[in-house]
Amino acid sequence: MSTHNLTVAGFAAILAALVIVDALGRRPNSRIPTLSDLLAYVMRSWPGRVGVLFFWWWLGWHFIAR
Amino acid sequence: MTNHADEGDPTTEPIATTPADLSGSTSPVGPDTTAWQLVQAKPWLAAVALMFATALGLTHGLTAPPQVILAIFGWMMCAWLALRPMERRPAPQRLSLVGTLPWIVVILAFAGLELYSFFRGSTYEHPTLSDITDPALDTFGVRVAFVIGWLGAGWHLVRR
Repeated sequence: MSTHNLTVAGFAAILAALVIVDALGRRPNSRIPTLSDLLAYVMRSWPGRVGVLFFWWWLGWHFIAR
Repeated sequence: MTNHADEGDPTTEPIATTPADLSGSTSPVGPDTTAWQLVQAKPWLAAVALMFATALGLTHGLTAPPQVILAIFGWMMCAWLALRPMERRPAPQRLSLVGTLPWIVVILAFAGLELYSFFRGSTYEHPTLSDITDPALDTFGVRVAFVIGWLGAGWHLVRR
């Protein structure tokens, strides 16, 4: 397997892990927070909120304007 | 006091929660409104979002049009968030360290792979995530779908 395919498989595995962890967080009484709750926790403070929202905007910029 | 609006009783008037509600204009949009519910409540907003996504879908690569559109959108979003604070869904006050561990692993794995590929030159053999997605994001349909998903995620974030 080429390193290209390995890298693509790595990103696919990470994406799958993200979906699985979020799904685990949606079970009743789960100790794992959902991604939304995790981000909300970070965004409780003003710098955290600005940072997360800026990161979201940057993602759009990065993927569309390149 | 019981909040009947949360119990899904369609006969009960929605309780004023947002600044717009409190200033007299009733709005069906609350902190739990999803992007899809927002589209149903305000179709004109969906039309604007679709036009925005279409405009970005028609652009290509690192050129002035997408940069200008996204820069203006960014400034408009900052102004909107500053001038019109919204009620948000309550955030968790504490998170379990053990429960957060899987997220830390996922984030570190992503950051590690992305940085490794970046410092190996972002070549074909070591592509970053954006190198992989670039060919798809160069097509109109995928660009429009990406922008719509991105706007939906943004709507979710400002409500948290």
